[in-house]
Amino acid sequence: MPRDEKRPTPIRTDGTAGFFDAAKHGEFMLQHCGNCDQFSFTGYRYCPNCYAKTEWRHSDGIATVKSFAVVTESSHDGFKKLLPYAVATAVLGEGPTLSLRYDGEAGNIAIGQNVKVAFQDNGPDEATPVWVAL
Amino acid sequence: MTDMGRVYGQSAMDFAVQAVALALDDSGLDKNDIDGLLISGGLCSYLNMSDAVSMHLQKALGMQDLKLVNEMNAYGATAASMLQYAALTCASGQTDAVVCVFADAPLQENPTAGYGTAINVGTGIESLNGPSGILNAATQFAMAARQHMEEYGTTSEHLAEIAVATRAWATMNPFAQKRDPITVTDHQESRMIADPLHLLDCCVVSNGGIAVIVTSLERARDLKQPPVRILGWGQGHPGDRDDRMIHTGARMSGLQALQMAGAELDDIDIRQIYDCFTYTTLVTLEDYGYCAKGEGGEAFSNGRLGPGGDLPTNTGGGQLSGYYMWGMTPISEAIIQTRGQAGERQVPKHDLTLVSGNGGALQYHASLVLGADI
Repeated sequence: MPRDEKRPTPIRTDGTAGFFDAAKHGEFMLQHCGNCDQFSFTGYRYCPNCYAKTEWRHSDGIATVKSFAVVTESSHDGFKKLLPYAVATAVLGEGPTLSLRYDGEAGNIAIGQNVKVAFQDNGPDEATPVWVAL
Repeated sequence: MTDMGRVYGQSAMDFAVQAVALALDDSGLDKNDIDGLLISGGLCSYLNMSDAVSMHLQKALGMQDLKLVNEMNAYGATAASMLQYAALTCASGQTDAVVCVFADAPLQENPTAGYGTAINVGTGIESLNGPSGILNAATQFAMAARQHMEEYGTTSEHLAEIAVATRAWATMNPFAQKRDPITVTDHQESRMIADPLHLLDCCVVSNGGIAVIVTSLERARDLKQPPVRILGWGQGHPGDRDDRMIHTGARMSGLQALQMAGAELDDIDIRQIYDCFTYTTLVTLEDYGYCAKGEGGEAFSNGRLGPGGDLPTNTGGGQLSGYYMWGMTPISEAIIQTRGQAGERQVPKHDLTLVSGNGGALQYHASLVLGADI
């Protein structure tokens, strides 16, 4: 694949190793704080609520769409092929909010609808999370 | 301020030096009168382009033994924050005269990469935007606008009214990049960028530089230009608060700025609002309290913001039609209007101006109340 057609892939950090390890085999994880029992998704080690150390914990990845945009123009060759594509901000059942591309017909997404995290296999690179219809 | 827009052949650092030279000349101050320097870069700084504005500016300006130097960053809220910091150091006696500079040169004559691909990738969780196809601010502000539409019934035609009013001002500004009048139909027929935002909902991109010198009122009164007073300021940074896209930091920062200035919204003659997109103007004015929450679509239609309207706003064409110097765009036009130097677009009553600076995807906000020396 020509270099410009390759879409960017996520960049692992020490703090997100647990997330990307699980992503490789299709499992979605959130950070959980054993001290205050809150979920978070900062990618930094400590809980943004109480600053205790967090651990990665399985999530079903089900979220409710808060808003979305339908991208109709891109100067990135890797995304031009996908136009028009939707991007959605959705609130996970555990609390954190996440913005990802919606892997499906852009016309099928609506505010209030439930979506679910899935992963795109990027071979040797990190897997990319996307929303899919539930 | 330097020439704006498609000005090629010099870097952001070159624009910064040029802007400082112009500001010194404009004020009548000598380079040696400056004892503070606050620096802010735009796209070039975030894209690591060559000769982006940086701390090296002090060297480029040949300034030594300054009492204050800082490179500041709150994205679009930086410029107003720089003026606040400069005013505090002048008021405390730490400095006599501080020059606040913004410069950028992202436009290339023969572009090698579009702004659309020009994202600050980040690492870890922050690196998910690029792979998700969230490659520019338009995508994020499209989601913000849609949320407002869903919650309050705002329409694309409402946003068009803001684009049209802002362009009407730009037709009278020789610095503005887009000077041909537009209609609501032009807006509606302009191509979609990120639904619901059309091309004419988006700001321009510019090369250029702006420098503002802050000093004491006593000193300013002896200089070449009519003083512009910094009467109030405030900041309000929602961070990642879940509803920040429709309830912005403008409310918190605007209330503080007005209170400090001892002014009411009704006392404000002119509004200079950070307008990266039409929606930003709408939600900022709404959160400042110019209408009941959610009613901005109707409230700011029918030319109310444009020339001859009762709420003159973004009188130089803003960033939508004027020039994209981040938070310096609204500040520069506020200064021009307050001095009474806006030519055919001069607003008759120009004693008090409310200025906003909005950063990131609505995470950061700073406000100023600027006034004439009356």
